[in-house]
Amino acid sequence: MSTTRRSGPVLVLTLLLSGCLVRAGGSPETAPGSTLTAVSLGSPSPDAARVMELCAVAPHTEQVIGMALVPYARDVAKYARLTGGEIELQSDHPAWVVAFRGPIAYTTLSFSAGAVTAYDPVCVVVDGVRTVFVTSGTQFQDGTFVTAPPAPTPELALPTLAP
Amino acid sequence: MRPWQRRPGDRRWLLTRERHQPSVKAVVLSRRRWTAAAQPNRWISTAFAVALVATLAAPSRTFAWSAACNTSSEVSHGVAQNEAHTGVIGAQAIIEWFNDALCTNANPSTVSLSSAWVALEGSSALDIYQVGFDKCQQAGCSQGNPAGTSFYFLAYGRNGNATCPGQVLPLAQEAPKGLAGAGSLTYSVVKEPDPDHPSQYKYFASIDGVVQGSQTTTAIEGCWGGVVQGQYADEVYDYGDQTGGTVRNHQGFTYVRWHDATYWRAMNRVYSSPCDVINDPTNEHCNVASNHHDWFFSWDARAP
Repeated sequence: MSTTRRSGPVLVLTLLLSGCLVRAGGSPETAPGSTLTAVSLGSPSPDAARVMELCAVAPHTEQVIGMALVPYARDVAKYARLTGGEIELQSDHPAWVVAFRGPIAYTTLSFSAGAVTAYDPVCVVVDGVRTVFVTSGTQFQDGTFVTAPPAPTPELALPTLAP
Repeated sequence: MRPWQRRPGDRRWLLTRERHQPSVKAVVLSRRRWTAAAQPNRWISTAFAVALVATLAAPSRTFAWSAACNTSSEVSHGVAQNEAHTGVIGAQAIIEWFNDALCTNANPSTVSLSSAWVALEGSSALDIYQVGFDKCQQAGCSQGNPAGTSFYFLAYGRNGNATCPGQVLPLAQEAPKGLAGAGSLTYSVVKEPDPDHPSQYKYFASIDGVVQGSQTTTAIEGCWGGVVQGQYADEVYDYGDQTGGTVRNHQGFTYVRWHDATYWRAMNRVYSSPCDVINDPTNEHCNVASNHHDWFFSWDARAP
C-alpha cells in the first residue's frame, strides 16, 4: 500500500513528461488536442508518403475523401464510415486513415476473390500493416456483388488532402 | 522428371533437397556466429563458404522463357491442392521457387504476377489467410509492394458479419522476411498457443519457422465462421506469366501437411493423380508425385 502511495506522484510526473515527449516528437501532421491535420499531397512526411503507397493514393487522388493520422485506432470509426466494431481496429495504436469514394480495382492473390472492385473503401495502416475495409460492397470478377454490412455516417470529417 | 522423384529408396534425393534450402543454412550459421565467441573466425568462414555454395547450388533456369503480355486474357488462374477437413487448423508445405519470368511488354494496366502460397480458407470468397511469395508487375502488384522482384507476402481477408463488421480485402503485403530468392522454404499457417499469452491461441503465419504475422482466433474462426480448408497453390494472372515450373524442372510442393485438432497430417493422394485445381489445363499441369502421396508438382507446358 505504501509503495503505491509513494509511486503515485512519480507516476503522474512520468506520464506528464512522456506526454510532452510524445507531443514534441510526434508527427507534424497531428496537431495538439487530437485535431486532425491535413496531409500534403505534394510534400508528405515520410510516414504519410509510405501510407500513400500502401493505400494507392496517387492513382486515385480524385477519389480521396480525406486522409489523416488518428491517434487511436479504435477512434477511426469517428472519421470514416465504419462501425467501430472492426476487430482490426481494437487498439490504442495510432492509425493512418485514407477514405475513398467510389469504385477502386484491387488484385488479390486468391482464387476465390481474384481481381475485385471495391466500393467506397477505407484504407487503414496500423503499425505498418495495411487493412482495406470495404464499406459499400465488393464486385468480384464473375460479376457477383457482395454488399458490405451497413455502417453509420461518421460524426467527424477527415481532412481533405492539402496541395 | 527429377532423379529424386524416380528413386524413393535412393538417398540422393535427400541430398538434392538440401541443396534447395540455401538461405536457411546461411542464416542459421550467421546467427551462431554471434554466440560461438570461442571460434568466431571458424564460424565466419563456414558461414561464408556455405552461403557461397548455396548461391551456386540454388535452382536456376537452363534458359529463360518468356511470353508477351496478353491483357485481353487476364484472369486469376493457377493450380492448387485443397485439404478440406472438419476441424482443420493449419496448413504447411515446402514450396520451391525458381523466380519465374513474368510476361513481357507490360503496360500500366497489365495484371501480371506469379505467386505461390499456403493458406487457410473460410467459406466466403474473401476468407483467406495466406503466406507465400509473389512476383508482380504493373496492375498485378498490390499497392505498396515491390514491383518486378519477388517478395514474401502475407494476406488476410474476411467478409463482414455481426461479429466482424466491414469487409476486409485479402491484399498481399510484403512480409517482414522481405525479398524472396530462388529456393525451397517451408510455409505454414497454424493455430498455436500465443507466446505472449500462453492461455490463448493465435493463427501464426511462418516461413521456415520464423513467424511473419498472426491473426486472432476471432479473426479466423469468428469472422469466417470456421476454417474450411488448407490450400497449397501457385497462381498467375496474365496469359504470358509463367506458372511455377517448366517442363524440365517442375515446381515442387513437398511434405504437404494439414493440422487437425492435435497433429499434423500428411496429404494422402493417389500417385500421379491430377491436382484439385488446374484452371488452364492447356498450359498448366499439376500432378501428385509418382512415389509420394504428399508431394505434387506443377509446370507450364509452354516453358521448356
